[in-house]
Amino acid sequence: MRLSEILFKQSRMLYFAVFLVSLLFFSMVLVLLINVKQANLETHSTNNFKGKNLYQLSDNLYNDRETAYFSNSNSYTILRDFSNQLAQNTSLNYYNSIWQPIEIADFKGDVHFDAYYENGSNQQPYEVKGKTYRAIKSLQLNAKVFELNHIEAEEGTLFSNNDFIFSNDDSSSIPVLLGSDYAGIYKPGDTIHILYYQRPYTGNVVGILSPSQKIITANDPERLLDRYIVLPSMSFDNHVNVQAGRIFFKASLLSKINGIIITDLSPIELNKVMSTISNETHFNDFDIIGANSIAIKLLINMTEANRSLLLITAAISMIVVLLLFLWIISVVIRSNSSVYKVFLISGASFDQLYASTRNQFLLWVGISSFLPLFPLLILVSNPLYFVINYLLIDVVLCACFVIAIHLFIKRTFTRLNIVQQLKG
Amino acid sequence: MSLTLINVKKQYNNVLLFDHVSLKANPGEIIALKGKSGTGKSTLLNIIAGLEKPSSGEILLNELSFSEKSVHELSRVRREYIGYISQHTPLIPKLTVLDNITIPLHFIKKSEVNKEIMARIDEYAALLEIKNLYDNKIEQLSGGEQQRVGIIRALLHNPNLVVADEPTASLDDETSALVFECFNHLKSKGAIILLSTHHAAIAAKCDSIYLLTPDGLVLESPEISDL
Amino acid sequence: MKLNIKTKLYQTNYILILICFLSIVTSWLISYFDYVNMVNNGYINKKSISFRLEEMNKPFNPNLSGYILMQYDNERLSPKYVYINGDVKLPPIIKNNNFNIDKDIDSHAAIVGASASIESIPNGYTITGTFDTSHSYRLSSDIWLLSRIEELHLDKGHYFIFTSPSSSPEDKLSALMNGNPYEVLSMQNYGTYSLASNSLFQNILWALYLFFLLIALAHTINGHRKDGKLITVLYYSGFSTYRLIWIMIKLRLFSFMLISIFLVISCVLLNRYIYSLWDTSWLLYSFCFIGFQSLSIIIASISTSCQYSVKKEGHRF
Repeated sequence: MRLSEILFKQSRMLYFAVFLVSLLFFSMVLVLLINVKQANLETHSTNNFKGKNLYQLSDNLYNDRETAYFSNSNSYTILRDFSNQLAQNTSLNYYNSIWQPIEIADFKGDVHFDAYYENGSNQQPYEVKGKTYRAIKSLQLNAKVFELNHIEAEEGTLFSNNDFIFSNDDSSSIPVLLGSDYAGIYKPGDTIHILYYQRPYTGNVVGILSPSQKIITANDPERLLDRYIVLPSMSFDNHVNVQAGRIFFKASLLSKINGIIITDLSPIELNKVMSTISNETHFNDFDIIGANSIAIKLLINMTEANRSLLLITAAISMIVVLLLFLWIISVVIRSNSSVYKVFLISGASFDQLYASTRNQFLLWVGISSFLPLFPLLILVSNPLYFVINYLLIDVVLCACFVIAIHLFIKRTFTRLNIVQQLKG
Repeated sequence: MSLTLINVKKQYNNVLLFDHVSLKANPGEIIALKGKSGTGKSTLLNIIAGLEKPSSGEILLNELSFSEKSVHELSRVRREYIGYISQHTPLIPKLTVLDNITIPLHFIKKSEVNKEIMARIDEYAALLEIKNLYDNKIEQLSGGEQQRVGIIRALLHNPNLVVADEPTASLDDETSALVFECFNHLKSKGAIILLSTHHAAIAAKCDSIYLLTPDGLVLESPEISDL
Repeated sequence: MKLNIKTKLYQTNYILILICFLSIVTSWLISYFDYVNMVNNGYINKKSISFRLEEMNKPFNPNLSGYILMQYDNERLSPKYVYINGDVKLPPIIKNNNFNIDKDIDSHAAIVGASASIESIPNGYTITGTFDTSHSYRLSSDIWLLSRIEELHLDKGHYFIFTSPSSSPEDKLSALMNGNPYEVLSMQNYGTYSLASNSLFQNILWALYLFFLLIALAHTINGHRKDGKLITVLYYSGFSTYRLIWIMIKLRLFSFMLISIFLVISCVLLNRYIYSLWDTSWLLYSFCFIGFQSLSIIIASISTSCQYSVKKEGHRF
């Protein structure tokens, strides 16, 4: 029987407690690591808007003016060029998030997904060609929205670069991303029948978003995507074939030019840039309005305050847990004092006692430090970042434990004064 | 192997326990150490067993000087040459008798229970009448039986010096006699047995008796002690 | 001798008391984070009930207290008509000189956020306070029009949010509605509620609470094991097992309960007079900890007393 086995047999419950405490400690380290990453990501997302000037673009095409504008056969091409130049301009970020319900045939979800559920104006389902359609919450987002808000998919993938380009007039399929509330209702690879600006599409589900994904929009600093179907806000690189769907192209192009400009430019500088684009594309029926940035500023403050609060509380918690962990170690050593007495009179040196005790603890600490990796590998998609960082922290922590346990054991042994105890 | 103590002194926090303790013990000698409670008998025995360092003075086991050795090195000396028996033998309650006896083997390089060691265990167990208890848990033994387990464990490696701190304090006369028989057996092999005791009958069986005083050891003869 | 034994036992309880204190702090933190989230979500918490009321056949129950009811129009979330009844915690407000919540409800007072559009305040309402919530964009742009529940009419809006510190807000809402049929709406939570890091951290705090529970349990078991020798001595001295159980419970449990309840009462007083939270769920968690710990002390006292008197040592005599 090994010495460690003898020690273990003597205080099974306490060693089990050490194991549990150690497991909880390292699980906390791992969860905190994930949480710090998450909090940083959240802060990083909102920081993309920090100190920036936000402007809302708004077209003037309504009523008679709209009719007159679209009577010109070049109007669609002009709008296309204008929106494309906005997207390509490097001095500004053109951010396009369009709240536009879409109709879905034989929709499997409940009323929460209905476009007007929250404000109580749910529309009745209707039938077209034997299919029942319901108006469902949907957002059309350009690539910049995904980039600045750090949108992540829980299952499947996000849109590829090509998904944001309307490549084929005859194409009837469109990639869609679903909010996290859709998990269990649809899955990546499923298809759904969509009416998007009255144009029928087969939506291919490419991914399910992670829970609590949100974007900043002009009207709402926080738009939660959990209940939304997300479509790519597509740019039209080729000639716009109006005959293929006049309403579709008109609505798509108009929505493309009603986005937010996020930039470091001053209003005067921005006006200059916009004048250039306007002159080059021959489109000037738009206004630039200063977007409401107070709410966004507060949102940035809130996210930063949240991170600070979490970090401070987490640091204090870790110190408390660590101290209690060391206390548990001292309890175990004390409860094993009778075993140490036996070892001592059997010829063990103090160094051997330190070593066997230290190795015993390190064995449990070592095992328990690796166990949290298993649920991580199972539950988290793309866990490599966390595994590498956790292992680095783990090595540092274990090294600290070796030193701390060694010093602590020496201190506890000195306090125990086993030789004195032998005198009876 | 002989044991020599030269002017051994021990003090705790400037309080003197004993000083000028000198002794010469030859192989095959049983020495009793007497003294009032608190005079430092257990401390002196711990020093001789290498568990504690004296404040000053020298202990020699043959040519081996204790003062030149660190506590760690003294552990090796204890492991190889000394058997230590304490008043309340510490045992591990969750282990069996045999497991407890063989614990010292964990600290010796050739740590397996070979035929020679098993024969030695059998020999002492038969002598101390606990041979039928090998597989019993310590929790199931009486105090006297536990003490005897501790004694066998101390003698497992055939020590040249046995340091026993009141080994028979918790034993009845009959069992005490068995323990002493065991010591005699070791004596015949040339070992030195140094024991502290309050029992006059036990002391009387020893070759010499020393009284520990703060000023050193005073030799008494067994006959005087009996009187 | 008796005093020494007591002192020894009390001393070993200090760690337990410390762990108890840490668990109370953790419980408080859980509630505190929830309160912060509530403020950041426009003073709407996870237990708030959103509902729509199409018609009002009977007036709402005016005698019910301990809630905040917000009424709004589906076209715009602000201003809200807010009905506050009973002693409930309000969000941080910078009050005007003569602010008095009871009086203000009667005199059509408005509380506004720093960036709210005050032009939307109806005639007859005067601003008596400003929300002091620099991190809540929702409250910063909100307007609360304080009203009496008797003045509730559906022409002010068909949409409501009901929030109560009660453990069962559904029952409370049902009592308030007085039989009027209403449709519950499932609303999403915003602000820090919607930050994954925040909800994950709440789970970490629960893990910490569990951690303290485990440590306390291990400490109790270990402490009672140490008492074994004392129990044996007392058993030899003529104490029966039942008496020993009583002694152990008296010395271990009563001292623990006394100090822990003192701790909780101190926290309650701090909560009441220095910094209060929306609800007292943290007190419930603290009591759960004390209850669990007390139970484990009782079980450990019984098992240790039996083990070290009758079973372990007693059978030999």
